[in-house]
Amino acid sequence: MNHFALTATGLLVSAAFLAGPAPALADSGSTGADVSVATTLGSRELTVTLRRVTSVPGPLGVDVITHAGSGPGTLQLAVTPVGATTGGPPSGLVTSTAALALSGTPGPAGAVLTVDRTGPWELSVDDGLNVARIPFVVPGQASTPAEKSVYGGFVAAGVCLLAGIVVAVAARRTWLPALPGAALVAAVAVAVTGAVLSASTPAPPMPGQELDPTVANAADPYAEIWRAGGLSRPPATLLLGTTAVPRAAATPIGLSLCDAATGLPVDDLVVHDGALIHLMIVGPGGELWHLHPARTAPGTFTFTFTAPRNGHYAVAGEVERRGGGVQMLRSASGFDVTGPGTAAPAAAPLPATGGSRTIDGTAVQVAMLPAVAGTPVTLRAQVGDRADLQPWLGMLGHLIVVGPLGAGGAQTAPLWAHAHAMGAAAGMAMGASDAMVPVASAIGATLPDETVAAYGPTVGFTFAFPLPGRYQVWVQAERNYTIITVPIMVTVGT
Amino acid sequence: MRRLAAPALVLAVIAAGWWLLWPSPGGVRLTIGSATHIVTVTLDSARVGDHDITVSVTDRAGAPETARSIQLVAVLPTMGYLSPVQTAPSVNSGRFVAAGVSLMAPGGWQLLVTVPGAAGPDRIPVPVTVTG
Repeated sequence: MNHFALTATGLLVSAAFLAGPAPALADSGSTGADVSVATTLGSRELTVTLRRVTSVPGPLGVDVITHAGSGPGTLQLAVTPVGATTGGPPSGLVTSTAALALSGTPGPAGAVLTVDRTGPWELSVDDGLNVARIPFVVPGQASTPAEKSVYGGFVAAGVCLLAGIVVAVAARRTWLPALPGAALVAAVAVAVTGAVLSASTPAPPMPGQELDPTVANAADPYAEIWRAGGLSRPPATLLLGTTAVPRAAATPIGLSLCDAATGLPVDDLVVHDGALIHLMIVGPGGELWHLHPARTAPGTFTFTFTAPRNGHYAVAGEVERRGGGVQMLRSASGFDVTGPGTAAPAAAPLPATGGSRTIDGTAVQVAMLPAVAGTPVTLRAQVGDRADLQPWLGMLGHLIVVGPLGAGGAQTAPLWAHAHAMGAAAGMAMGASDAMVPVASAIGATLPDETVAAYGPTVGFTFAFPLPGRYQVWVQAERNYTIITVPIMVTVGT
Repeated sequence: MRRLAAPALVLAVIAAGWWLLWPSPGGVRLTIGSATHIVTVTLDSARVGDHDITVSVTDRAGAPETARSIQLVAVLPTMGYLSPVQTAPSVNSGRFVAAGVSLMAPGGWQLLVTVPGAAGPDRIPVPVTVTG
């Protein structure tokens, strides 16, 4: 009798657990997050944001933010699955398209496409002359091994319970019900262990971020958890498609990235700091261009450039390969610009120790204590007079450093660096507290996008200049959808 | 005899569960498309070792590729390894076999299949996860 009471209680307990949340199906949704990718497409600087996919098949929201100087027009958007499958329709063809109208006013515009499967995809953005192909991953919703243990354990416990009831009723030998009873205990132990460990289950290497994404690992990253560790890759090499560019003419310039070990195109870049590649170009007049060339094919990027003056232009790119850290790739050649006519002289850089100027309609002030080689020093720039800066590339501000400058200028400068203003409390004024808080925590857990104009006006950067000498630095911040670039000269003493 | 029936039944259940849950070391068959071709790669197993790799190639309409051969290289990106170019001759209508392709370490390999064409070669990467 006691045996029956025990089994009946156990049945109720198991049923209660089994009636809980059902295991997620592999094709039932996505755990992805919004992804923003800055792309320089023709003359437009775009921020393309792919919204989180919540169900498959389901909608994929694509928002495009334009910046000052972008003309009106239409972008043709299309998505193409590019993964290898074990069944179903083959990849490689466009499955959904949308047209996105851009007004001449900077700001966001949106369109909705449809994705019908998990795995690696490409979004093409076509302005009629140029096509950017942005890779992205639509993940499945997989259960962790611990969750599978919990569900499997309780299902097994339920089966053992039923078997125990049948055996207890039918068997003549008293020891026989102990067999399913022991199995039930073992199954419950597995389930409880899984439940206890579920919170501490290590994350698998993420497809797209650390692993080359496939249809299989996008659906269930835990299937390849054994590959965790040792996922870094060889460095890359940046090659420019041309080293001679005409002056004052919009010129498409191609660049390619090669694997330093195999020479093959590098097609495993991950989005870091809001772009696949950050390209820095320093002109002969001390100008800086911070562009995000459009990926046109595996390992191949292009950007359109109008050089204002003759001379040598030095180039470097920042990329992050899957499973590895960010690397700065300096072009060994740069490019030279020649052509008739002359350009107005470039504005002289502001002295870092104190200076002010109006740039693109915004008043800018900079201030810094005297810098000593090897000692961190903080450079502050006040951009505008109120807290209306917008995060650009996920950061409040960017600091590009090139130096110490010698006879070869930027091309032969020993150091190129890129620092970030991680954020400052909204409304912080010049000279106020140095307390730095991440942009994300300033308004909550969600990282704001460029449409949130609530930061600054002061952005601060702390950097340890490693060598004495003269450095050309630039502070970049976004205001009114305009990227304001402030040229500054820093003299570092010993 | 009846005394042995229950233990035998338990053993049979355990054996059946073992057999059902044991991961199968089966072959790999992956299909991927480009704008102009559909490629299906077949390996007898995805374990470390030398493999004869069968590659079936059609156009997007399903017509078999008529080239006499295609080329294949194996890449292990995390190790920076690139195999020698292997020419896979046609053995049947649209079927090509690359013999003895060495996948000598576990990890995420890429088989780069190059199909010749009038508009230029079509290079299609096929990801294959190799286990130890």
